[in-house]
Amino acid sequence: MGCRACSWLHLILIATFAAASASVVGAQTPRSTESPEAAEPSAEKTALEREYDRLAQVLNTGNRLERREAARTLMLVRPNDVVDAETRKMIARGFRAVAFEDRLMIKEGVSGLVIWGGKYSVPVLIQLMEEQTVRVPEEIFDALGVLRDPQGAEAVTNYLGNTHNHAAAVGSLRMMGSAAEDALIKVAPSNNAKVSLVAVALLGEVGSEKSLPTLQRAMRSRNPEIRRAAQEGAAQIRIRERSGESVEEGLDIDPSSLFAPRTGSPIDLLALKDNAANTTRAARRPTPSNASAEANANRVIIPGDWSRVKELSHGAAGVQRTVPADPLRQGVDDNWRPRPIQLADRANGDERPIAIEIAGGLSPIAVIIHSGGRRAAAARLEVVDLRDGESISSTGIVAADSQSCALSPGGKRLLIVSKGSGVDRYARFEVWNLGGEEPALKESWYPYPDGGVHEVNIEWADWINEEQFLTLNASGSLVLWDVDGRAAVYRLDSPFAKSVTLSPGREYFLYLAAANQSGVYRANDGQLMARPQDSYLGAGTPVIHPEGHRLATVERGKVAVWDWSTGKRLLGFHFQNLGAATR
Amino acid sequence: MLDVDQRVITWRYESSALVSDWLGSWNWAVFDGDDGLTLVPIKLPRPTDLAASETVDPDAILALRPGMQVSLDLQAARNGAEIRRNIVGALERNGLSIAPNQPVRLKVTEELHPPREAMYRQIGVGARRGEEKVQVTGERTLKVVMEVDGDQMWSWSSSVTAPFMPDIKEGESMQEAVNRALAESEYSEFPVPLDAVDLSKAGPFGTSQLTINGIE
Repeated sequence: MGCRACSWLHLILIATFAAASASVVGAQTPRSTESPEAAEPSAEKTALEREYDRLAQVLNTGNRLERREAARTLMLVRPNDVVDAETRKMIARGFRAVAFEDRLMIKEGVSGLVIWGGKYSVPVLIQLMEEQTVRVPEEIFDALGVLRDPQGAEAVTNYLGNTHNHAAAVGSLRMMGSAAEDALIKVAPSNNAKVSLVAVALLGEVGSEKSLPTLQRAMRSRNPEIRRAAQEGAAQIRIRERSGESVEEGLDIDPSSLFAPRTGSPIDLLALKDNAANTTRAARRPTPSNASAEANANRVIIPGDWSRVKELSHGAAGVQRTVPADPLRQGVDDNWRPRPIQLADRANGDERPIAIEIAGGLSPIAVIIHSGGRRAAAARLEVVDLRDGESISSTGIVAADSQSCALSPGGKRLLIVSKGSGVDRYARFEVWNLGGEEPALKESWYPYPDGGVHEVNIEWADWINEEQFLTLNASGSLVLWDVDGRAAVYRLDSPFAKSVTLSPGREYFLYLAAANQSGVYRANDGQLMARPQDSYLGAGTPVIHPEGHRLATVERGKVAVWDWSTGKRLLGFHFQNLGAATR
Repeated sequence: MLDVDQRVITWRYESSALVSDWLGSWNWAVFDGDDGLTLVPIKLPRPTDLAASETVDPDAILALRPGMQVSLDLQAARNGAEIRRNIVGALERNGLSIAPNQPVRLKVTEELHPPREAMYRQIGVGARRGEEKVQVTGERTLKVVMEVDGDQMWSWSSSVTAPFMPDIKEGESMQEAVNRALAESEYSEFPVPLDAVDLSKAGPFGTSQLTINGIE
């Protein structure tokens, strides 16, 4: 965007936006559903107000890292928390700058624009959208959807039929409700069948009587899909008109959305600041969908305790003990004849199971996490008693961004790893107790509150007993965590780490990395037991025999079998086109 | 399902499950059906699946075994005699010999890469400043494909390319250093695929579908 005209346009938009923010925020809070009256500024600012000033200043003038910190912290604040109109203006301008200048923070920048600029941010969001070369971040479509502005709708319809942005554009227009109607009427007669079809279908969802002439014309289309969509759309509109139902019903802002208004007292940023390292990373959990988890909604989640972590070394090259076979402790009764089990009804049509874990020995249970889709407020956790053959609990209480889970060997505890989203984009651990009628959250923490992109990416996790679990992140760092105290017990790092495999009895683990860094370790204290006598590099993720005496690797058609106790390669052969081993 | 002792793919299972996990030999899989989601236990493998590979002789299914004769087709761009000597030597050290018209055929091709230009920059004490353009000719790739009765079973390749960091001797230009490196470089040692399984004998000996109704 190097041309002079564009630069001028840029400047004009900045000025417009600053003025708009000033008038709107000063008069009322754009996204708040509460009475938005802002108190008159008092002569003496409170400590919290001075903290808002400081953050607003940093958001505008700090270096990139400082601005990120400030943006994340200010996501906890809402305009009606801030008394001083000048501070509100400065925050709005700061979020605008973040959205345009820091690609990694575009989500926060866009959310800040919506929260602090309201409908006045629509032209800015459109400009931001048009500056994207290929894929427009979905947050921009979401933001325009939430703002429900006809100008925004017209801009979004330009992305219908676009390979990279079509789905997000459709979602955005759907969120806009009746505000999208005029724009959809305009694009419905498109020569692009994909655009025409979706516009006609959306008119059925958001349109009024005004759309009927367009739909009647579409009923004469040569494309049978468009004809059918037009007929259905017209019928939807007539039903709505007869029943008096509004298209805006059901379009309330998702309470877990970054754009959602917040009621009640301001969050005490100073108290968070005093809370050691967790201050600026702290964030609220997505609001759970049931009352039992309401209490958790605004609580601050603290980081893991790294104060006593033991750094393990990769040890001497010659370390070689005989590693005892570590068989599976609890088998399954051979006479058991389980039956299929009907699971609980889905919470919505988009819901889909994303993870299942089974454990519990002779009283086995399965836990299943059902994701409700991108816009869901929470994921559903279902617990199934496999012995009794029934689903015993199904509640929408776990974070919507849950990624994977691991069940402790006795089935008493569940670890859920969430990948984070928005301001809350750092990996998060949640440990749930499963003993009671409903799962109960025991602990929740951020393992890497200051981590980089790879550190916060948890690739693998599993329990070694009922109290401790191991994790491996994308930086190759293996950590043993103690649930009590959220404490990191030991860590083992290698930039070349490939995988971790627990022995069936969970006494040992095989850490595969570069040849001189791979080894079998005792799980409870990280004692290095042995190194593989042959290089395992390039050998794929190992699978260990339930009796614990052999392990096999499969990668790109190469199969190898190794003696667990001695690390010697027993046999090898290869096929073409064979996938990786799973068990 | 692989039988590692028999060196075969015993059975193939194809599943439409949304997610699944194991408890002992029970695979618990979530399927989407007319009545919503169902968690279905399926015991694997079935005794009949396991029995499918019982009679396989694990040595007889290897494509190459010591004592066998192998045909060799060689199309080399430049170092034909040397390549042949290296490959035949490796085969003989593993108890194999060359003979015409054998079921197992090694097709060896050496291809020269098109000439290209490369830029190098000297580093260290006394290094010349700026970048030097070098003409790179003589980069090459050796490819070996093993066929059994006309079906490809295994392939391997090795390339000689211009060095990333040429070692310049005293009085030598960068061009001369690159030319020398390319001339002196050799292909990796040919690894005789004694552990390659003849895919026509490697299974699977059956395929089953895992569905909401169990194994079919």
